[in-house]
Amino acid sequence: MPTCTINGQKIDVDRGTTVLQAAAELGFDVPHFCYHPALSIPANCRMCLVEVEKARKLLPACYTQVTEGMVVHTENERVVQARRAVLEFILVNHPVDCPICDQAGECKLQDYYLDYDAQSSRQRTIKVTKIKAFPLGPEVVYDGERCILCTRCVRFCDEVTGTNELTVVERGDRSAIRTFPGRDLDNAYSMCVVDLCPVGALTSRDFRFKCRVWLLQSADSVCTGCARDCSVHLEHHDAEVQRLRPRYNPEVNEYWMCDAGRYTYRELHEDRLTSPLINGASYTWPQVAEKTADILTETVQGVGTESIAFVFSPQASCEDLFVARKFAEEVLGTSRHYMGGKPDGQGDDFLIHADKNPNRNGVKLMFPRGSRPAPFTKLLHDLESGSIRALYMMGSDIPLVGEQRQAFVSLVENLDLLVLQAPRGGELAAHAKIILPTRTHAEKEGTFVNCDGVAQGFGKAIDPKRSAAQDDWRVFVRLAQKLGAALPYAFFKDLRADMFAAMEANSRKTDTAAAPEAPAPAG
Amino acid sequence: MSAADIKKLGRKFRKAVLDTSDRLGMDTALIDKSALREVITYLRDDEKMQYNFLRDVTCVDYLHRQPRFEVVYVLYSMPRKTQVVIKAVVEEDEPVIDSIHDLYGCANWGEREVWDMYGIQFTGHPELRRILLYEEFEGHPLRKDYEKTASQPRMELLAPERDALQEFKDYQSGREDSGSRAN
Amino acid sequence: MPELEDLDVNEFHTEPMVLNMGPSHPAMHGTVRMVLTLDGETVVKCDPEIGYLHRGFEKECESATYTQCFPYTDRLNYVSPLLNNFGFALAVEKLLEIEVPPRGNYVRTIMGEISRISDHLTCLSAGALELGGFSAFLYGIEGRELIWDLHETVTGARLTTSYARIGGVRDDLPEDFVPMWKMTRERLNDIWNDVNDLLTRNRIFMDRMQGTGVITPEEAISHGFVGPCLRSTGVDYDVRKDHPYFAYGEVDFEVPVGSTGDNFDRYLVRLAETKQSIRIIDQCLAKMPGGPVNCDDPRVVLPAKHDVYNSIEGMINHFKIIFEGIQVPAGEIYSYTEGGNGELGYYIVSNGTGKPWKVKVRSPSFYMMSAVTKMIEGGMIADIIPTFDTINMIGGEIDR
Repeated sequence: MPTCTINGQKIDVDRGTTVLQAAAELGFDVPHFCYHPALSIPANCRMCLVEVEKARKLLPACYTQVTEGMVVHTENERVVQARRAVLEFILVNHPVDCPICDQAGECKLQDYYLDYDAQSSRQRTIKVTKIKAFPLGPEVVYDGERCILCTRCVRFCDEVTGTNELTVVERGDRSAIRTFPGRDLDNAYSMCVVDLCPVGALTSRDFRFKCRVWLLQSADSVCTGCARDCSVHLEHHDAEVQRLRPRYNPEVNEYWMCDAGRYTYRELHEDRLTSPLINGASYTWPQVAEKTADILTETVQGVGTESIAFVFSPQASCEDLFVARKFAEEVLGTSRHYMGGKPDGQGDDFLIHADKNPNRNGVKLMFPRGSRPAPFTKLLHDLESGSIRALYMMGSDIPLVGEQRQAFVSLVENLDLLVLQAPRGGELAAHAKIILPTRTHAEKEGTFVNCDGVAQGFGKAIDPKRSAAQDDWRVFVRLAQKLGAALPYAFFKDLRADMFAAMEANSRKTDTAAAPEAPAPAG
Repeated sequence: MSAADIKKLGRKFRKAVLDTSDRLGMDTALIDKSALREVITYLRDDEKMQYNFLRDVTCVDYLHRQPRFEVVYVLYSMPRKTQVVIKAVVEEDEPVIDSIHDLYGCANWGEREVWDMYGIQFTGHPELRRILLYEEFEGHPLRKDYEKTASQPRMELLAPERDALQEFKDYQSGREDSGSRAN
Repeated sequence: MPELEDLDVNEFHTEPMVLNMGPSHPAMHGTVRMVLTLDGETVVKCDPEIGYLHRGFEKECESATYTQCFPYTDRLNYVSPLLNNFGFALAVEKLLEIEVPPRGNYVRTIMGEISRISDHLTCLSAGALELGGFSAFLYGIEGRELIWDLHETVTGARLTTSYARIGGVRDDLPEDFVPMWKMTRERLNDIWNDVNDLLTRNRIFMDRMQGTGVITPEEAISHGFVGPCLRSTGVDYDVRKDHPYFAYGEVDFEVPVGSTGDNFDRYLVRLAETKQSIRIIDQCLAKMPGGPVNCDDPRVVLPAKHDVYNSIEGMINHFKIIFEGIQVPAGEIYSYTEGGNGELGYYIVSNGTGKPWKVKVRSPSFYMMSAVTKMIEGGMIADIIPTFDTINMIGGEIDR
């Protein structure tokens, strides 16, 4: 356990810790470009050079491991001059692109310049020009002039995704990043290189010129693309989500997320239901609750509770599902539960999961073992046989494809009653008698449980624009009150307490994979 | 000189003075609000102190810090030409502090402004009402958690509201029964 | 029918009358409302109501960077905008612990004094106007127009100048400033003489101004008086002499001090200060060194446009300063300068970012307005006009 002294403070670290990591533990930030904690260490940017006593030259802090009795200075005159020199060299051929560069506002060169350099240019020659706006793949655009050749992107493709698409071509001051001949940067995680790039050399086609970074506000959230539930920063401006960026979570996704997950921000604002409707006429919430209660009572009397199906959506948060279950069982009184959600897709061996719903385990944990909702194919069968006459559907996603999907949609037209409580309309909005608009995960607080049983909280980022959408659980509580069987939840924290207790109880017995761990703090 | 005054103050009011500092030449004493009147009276009346001029009374809202508010009194001694800053901590749950309007005439309006903007009540103040904003205003705007986009209640208009846009349209369309030329 | 001489005035049935000198009134400088209770001509009680020009200066400054606060400071004491600008710049520079080069200080002194002449001329001429001396008003306003021309040559705007920057001023004085000043100064001296001849020994003016609006020095200090109003009572307090800043320590000037604390003394103090300001400007122009007007710290002062457009270092520098603001270390300061009306204080609390946490303006007129009741009550309603004028209550400064 070597002990070293950094800037006069002693610290005892594990063997193999680098000076940069040890300094970070003490609170000293050593500037760096090419170092990334999840990638190999090339020490090629030379920005992290620090003075180690008894060493003749300055050593790169990202690579040098701490040895016993090492004395390090990270802020003395020699180090400051070295940083200035390194920055000056990097900036020699850097284009004057800040006004048009996406990275402005989150650019390491900008931040380090004022902190460590702050001298005017001494250059008297013309800058070297290279290719600009070169598409490396379907998602990523490369700017040769801005690139500082830290090789983070090359190492990412070699070590994390294993696809080896990128490499450094040419040499000297003509060096650039290219894909190998005949290949594109088209792996499923290609947009991670945009996050990795410390400057604006690699930019995302989707986000290019979309919104300036300092206008964005960030909320801690979770991706809803698949059951992995990668932690994300949900960045929004003017009540619209502009992009998702992965958030570091060592238990789930570390530093990465897939491209498909990044694109899920689009559906947060597409095809949204904004107003409660009954047969196409819009009402206020109190009115629609009144009328829906009447219609539901009528339907129950007409067809009996066992002909009413309730579909649980694995896109909804645990809190919504907890109240949904109480509503279905205690208020509506039906035990015909089915699992909805999006249909399965492709998975891989890294982060992408075949189940494209974020909270299937959340649905399961609301029920004791053995009484979990039936698969959707059974609902299709029950509809065909006529034993289901009314459908209360949470979420408008249909977990079927092709012929089965079309069959379902046409069967739904013949139902006595379809209540659709969802954020998006989808194919079913046209057939639903009652539409109750709800909020997406970006517009509320909640919890998701991922495929490995890790529960994560997410925070509220925005409010729905010009919309009366409500949280699912609030809709249920409102309806329950009108139906005369009030649910005792007025405040979110009471609901959460009961919900965690129920999840704890339902996860006992043998299913250890579904045991929820302590949730990550909500944003 | 004012640094020595702060030291003297600290010795005399040992329990009341919570902290002192002199960064950037601002000799400051952080005091407990219950000792406010004593401290200010001492500073004003003592022959060696003679802080006869209250430069400013204001308040700082440190949201997310306990205690949340600090009421700041900047005192100046005209004969000795020194300045001292007294800060009294005020909790969020009990935003009340003593008034010093009888010690300095200018504290009257200064404290009214702190009430108006921050919601700190000054006990003993003869007429603690809003000064810069109208009485029906809701909330205390300089607090950090004041919603900037909040709309405020309008007061009832005594005359019917005129629709300037409609009047302009009538004028443009040359209608004869509108405007000042209408008979 | 009883004879007039037999009537006892005290037997008349009288009631006090409440009169509203509303915010919209020719003599109310900048929208102040006074609700007066009158007993005949005597003011029994006066209840001033301010806030008609409250624009939320302090709240706005909390969401703007330090440089973006300068246009807001223009609109505080809008008859001497440059003095407000420089006061704010000085406060932030104290927090940053940076020094402005000597030429910058001289430029600030010169432009500040020019603004002060404008302030005093406005006050004097408006006073004459309200007492009926229209000619004196026109002469004074001509002087103010010439000064605004000077403002425009140097800063680009007549009134909303925003000339100061953290670390110096926006630009150096233009080449035609000195000849323009020489011309203006001649005319200003003539105007000063005309106004002085018209007013100072004018019977009507003296009758209305002497003995009205009196305040004692102890009351003045207690009520937070500063500037010409405090000096008219006999207290010799001028920030430029007592705590010199900019180039005031290097020039000779007198501070006129009155004795009676009435309106006439305030008028005389302002008249004399105008002459002193001209004296200061002449000395500064003679003594001014060459060199830069802005401090050379790249973290505070924007780089030259040539560097911004042609080098990445200049571009990044400009970008970071503009979009993130000047990063001011955490701390607080109460910094004061001599504004047009007296000690203008800025209490700034910084939380270490580019935007201030709190900016409080200690405006001189605010506290003097609070004491106006003391000066008016007991006097006649006609005395309100000269009192209100010589206090030089600027609405923008009171209400912020």
